[in-house]
Formats: sequence, structure tokens, C-alpha cells
Amino acid sequence: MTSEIALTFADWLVIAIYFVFILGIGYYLKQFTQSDEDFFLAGRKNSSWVAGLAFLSANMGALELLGMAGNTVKYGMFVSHFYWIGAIPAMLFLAIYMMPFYYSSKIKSVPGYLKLRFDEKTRVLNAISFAVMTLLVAGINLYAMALILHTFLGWGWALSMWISAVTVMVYVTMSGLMSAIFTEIVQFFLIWFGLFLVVVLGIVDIGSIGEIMSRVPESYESLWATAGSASANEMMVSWGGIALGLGFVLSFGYWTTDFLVVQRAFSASDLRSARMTPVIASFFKMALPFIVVLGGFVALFLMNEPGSGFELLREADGKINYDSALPQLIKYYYPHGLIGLGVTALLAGFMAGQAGNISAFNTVWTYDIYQAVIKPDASSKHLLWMGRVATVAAILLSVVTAYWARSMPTIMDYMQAIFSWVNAPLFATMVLGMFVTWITPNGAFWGLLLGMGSSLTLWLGVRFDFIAKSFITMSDSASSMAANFWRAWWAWLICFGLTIIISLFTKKRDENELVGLVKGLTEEKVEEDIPAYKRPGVWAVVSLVVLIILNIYFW
Amino acid sequence: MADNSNQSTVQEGQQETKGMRPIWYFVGMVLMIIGAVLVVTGIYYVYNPSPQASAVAYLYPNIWWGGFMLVSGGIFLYTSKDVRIK
Repeated sequence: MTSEIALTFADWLVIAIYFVFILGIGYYLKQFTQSDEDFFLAGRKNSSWVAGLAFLSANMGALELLGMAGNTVKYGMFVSHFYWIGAIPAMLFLAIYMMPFYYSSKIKSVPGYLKLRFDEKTRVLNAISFAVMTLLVAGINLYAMALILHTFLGWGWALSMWISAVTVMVYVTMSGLMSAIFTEIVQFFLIWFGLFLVVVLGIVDIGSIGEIMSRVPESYESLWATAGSASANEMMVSWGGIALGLGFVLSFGYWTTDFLVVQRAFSASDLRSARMTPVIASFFKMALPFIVVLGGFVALFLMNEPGSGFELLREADGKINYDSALPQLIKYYYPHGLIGLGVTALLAGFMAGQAGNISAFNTVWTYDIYQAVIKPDASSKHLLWMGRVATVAAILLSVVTAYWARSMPTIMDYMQAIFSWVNAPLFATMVLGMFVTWITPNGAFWGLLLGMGSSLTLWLGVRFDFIAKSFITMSDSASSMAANFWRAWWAWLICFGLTIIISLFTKKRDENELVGLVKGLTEEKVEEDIPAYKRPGVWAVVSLVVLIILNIYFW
Repeated sequence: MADNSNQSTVQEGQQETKGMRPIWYFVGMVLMIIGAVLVVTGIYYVYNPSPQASAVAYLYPNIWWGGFMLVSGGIFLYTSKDVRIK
């Protein structure tokens, strides 16, 4: 599988400019990083636009962009579900219903909320599972990045991994979350400027979007029309799996509880800005299919166009490497200079994703494990020092994980599974904690533990054939992706049910201790003193209307 | 954003050299510099066509896309050059 993109001086120059910039930004911001709050929460002074773009960018990794463009070649329009129903409702729910409790309680992390709402053991359970998940994901991302750079650019695997890992380590160690957020926003612009052009050039070259779609198989064109049964669409997933598994549990579990993204909203300067953070991000999230899905369709058109000379790479065993769609389009359409920009956009996506994982890890480690369990009386200066030590340690551990992933490439298949072990049950705990007063600490702890255990058991059961996949998915023809969706749903339901049942028989907390943490016991702040165009609720409705229009238009 | 009425930016009576530059300043700078590199590269290829030209090399995307980045970056840089965050 070799079809390396040769780089010239202009391409290298663009890449070098990016590296100089992100290291320079980290160095510049170091002088403003004086306390633990500066390091872990960027001083809580970001505007809603800064926090919003960082919120989106923390999720907009290069792996996702490459994977989703490739998935479009495989599955067609269904990929848009990941950007629309699989993201927007959850982002708006976070903004409108959950952010007031998160932000107003002045917590520093998601596990911090669990400590205030329930108890220390629930917080530590979530902190440890989140820390392990984040390090695993960081390491797997690092491995995947080095693999892609090796495949498409011919760069040495170890060299490209170490250079990017050390670069992230240097700028996150210097200025923590603020440098992570700054580089995420630079990444946001580089991705749009570096990758959207490939779609523009594709449309100009082919003639029109209509011309592109005329060569796309009919089953690839619809969003919902073929979701009636799993066997009627390429993704082999029914509307139930999409709506319950992806649209509800996986999406809400990720966007409302994963500290990697929620941390960006915590960095906002006030509650209104924090609530606007996911709302602003939702508009850009909805626009991403115009790069990845349309890009995938351009690749599909060119593959089927005799004489175009365009083809995707193939593995050693002859299988098509669908992830090569976007890099191959860059190679096909971009002249030198722009190739450097396209490669920089991918590099920026990888490195910002890495920085996001590391900055979330160092916060949870320092506040929710180190300060909570090991050194409760630590000063701000000591916590700042620990945050920097944790950053270096996390980078080194992610490198070790990357080497491990290299020796066991199937680990890549487990990425989605890892999310459903941790995030799906956590969403049940969070939603019950925020909206039901009588949920008890023991109910939350055991519900969460057993929910996580059930998800892992279901995954192991299917993996080692002692539970039939059809038992989980309620369909004989469901794909692995459908199984992920359904497993997340069952894990959520088990956690939800057990938390309620156990809470009925265990000791409740005094309601006076829950003021500001649970709906019904917290004063609702009505936004009547600000104009309508500044209200998060108004913009959330606009976002929802756009989502509905997109779904109807592409039905 | 250069307008001093923006609450989150320049503090009244404070010297403008104090405080943190906003992210938009750095975004502007990186877009301008990379845009300039692309424009120069594009002009170079007009006079020295690459033997391995891309499928749409005749559109000279380096020049107009680089120019677009240059202008966009310039706007970001100009509007944020005097802004400092408290």
C-alpha cells in the first residue's frame, strides 16, 4: 500500500510555520499561567466564540475526518447521522439543561460534579475510568497518526510519533488548557482552509453537486428513507439503532459528560458564554459533512469515472483502505504548497486532539485523583506543578500505549467500544443526578459500576461468541457499528434502572445539600435582561430548526 | 473587535501592551503567513510549471486560495491588533 505524497520546499515550509506557531503560542501564554485555575481552566476568561470553537475542535480530530470521509465511500449519506442527530440534540441539551448545574457549581471537572452531587467514591470511580480511557484513546490516536503519516507521506513511524508527542508535551506543559484551546482554534481554521478547498475543486472539476450525486448509488443518497430495516442500507443499522444508540445514548453520553469537550465550556467567562459554547459549536458541527461527506462523494465519483486515474489505496491483502479517500483527494487536486496546507491541517487535527486528551487527563488526575485521594491540602502552586508533571507523564504513557497498539493493531477496533464502556452509563448517572432529587450516592455508585460492567460484559460476550450479536441488536443482519449503538443503549438502560432501584432502598442526602446541583432545588435564572439575539435558548431553537430542515431535505 | 467598548478586551486606563493577545491575533498571523507562502508558490508555478501538475492546476488554486487566506488573516489581524484580554 504505497502511494506516498512527495513534498517540496513549499510544503515543508507551510508545515514548519505551523510548528513554529504552536510552540510560539505555548511560550507566549506561559507568562499568563500563574495559578492552577489558569493552567486547568484557562483562567475562566474565554468568550463564547473561543470556547465554542475549541469545544468543537477538541472533537474534530483528523482520525475522525479521515474515517468519516472513508465511511461515506462505504456507507453514503448515513455518515451524516454522526454530525446531525448523533451530535446536535445532545449539544443543545448540554447548553440549555445541564450547563447551569455544571457551571454554577463552579466545579473544575465532570467528576467534581459527582463529588458534590453524590460522594467521593462515585467521583473517584468516574475519574479513574475517565483517566484510563483518555490515556488509551491518546495512545491509540498517536499510533494512528504515525501510521497515517507513514502510509501517505513515507515518514518514519517512530520519528513522526515522537516529534508530535514532544511538541504537544512542550506547549501543554508551558500553559495548560489555554495553549490547548489556542491551538485547537488554529486547527479549526487550518482544517477549514486546508480541507474544504478539496471539495470546492472537486465540484469545479466535475461540474456540479448534481453531477456528483448522479453517479452515487441510490441507496447512498438518503438519510432516513432506507433506515426502516438494517438490511436495507449499507451501514446495516435500523432507525432504532440510530435514534436510541447513536442519537440518544452515545451522543448524549459523549457530548454532555465527556470532560474532554465539556472542559472547554468550563473555560468560559460567565454562565451565558458557557451555555452559548455548545450552541455555537453545533452550527459548525452541522457544516462538517460539507467537507467529509461531500468529499467522500467526490472520491466515489472519481473512483467510478473511467480515465480519472483516481483510486483509493489498498492493503497488502487487497482490501480497499477507505481512510485514504481524503489524502488521495489532496494528492489528486492540490498543487505543491496547498499539499503542505492539507498535510498541516491533518497534523493540526491530530495534535490538537492529542493536546485535548492530555489537558483533560491532567485536570482529572490532579483534582479528582491526586488532590482528592493523595494530597487534599495541596496549594495552588503545588497543583500547578502536579499538572505539569501529569502532562509529561501522560504523554510518555500515551507513547507507551502507542507502541502497544502497534504490536496489537486490532486495538483500533475497540475505540468505539471504549467510549460505550465509560460514557453511556455515565450519562444515565448524570441525568438522574441533575433531574431527580431522591437519587442516592450508593444508587449512583453501584448503578454506574454495574452499568460499566454490563457494557464490558456485552462487548466481551459478542467478541468471544458467548452472546449472539442478534440478541443485542434485535436483528440478524446488524453490523458491528449497529452492535456498538445497541450495546450503548443497553448499558445506559441497565445503569438507569439499577440506579433508581438501589436509590429506593438506600440513604438519601439532605435536600439542603443539593441546592444548585439538582433541578427543582435550584433557582432558575430567566434571561429576560438580555436581548433575544444574545440568548442561548433562542440560538438553540435556531440550531434545532436547521437540524430538522437538513434531515427533511436529505431524508 | 478592536473597538474598546468590548467588555472582555481592553481595560480602561490600562496600557495596551499589558494583558494577553486574543487568539484571533494569532489566527490572523498564521493565515496571513501561510497565505503569502501559497501566493508566492502559485506565482512561481505560473512561470515554472510542475511536471506533476494536479488535476486542476490550470485553475491556479495556490494563488486565489492563498490570496483569500491572506485577506482573511489580514482582517483578523487588523481587528485584533490593539486588543488585550484582562
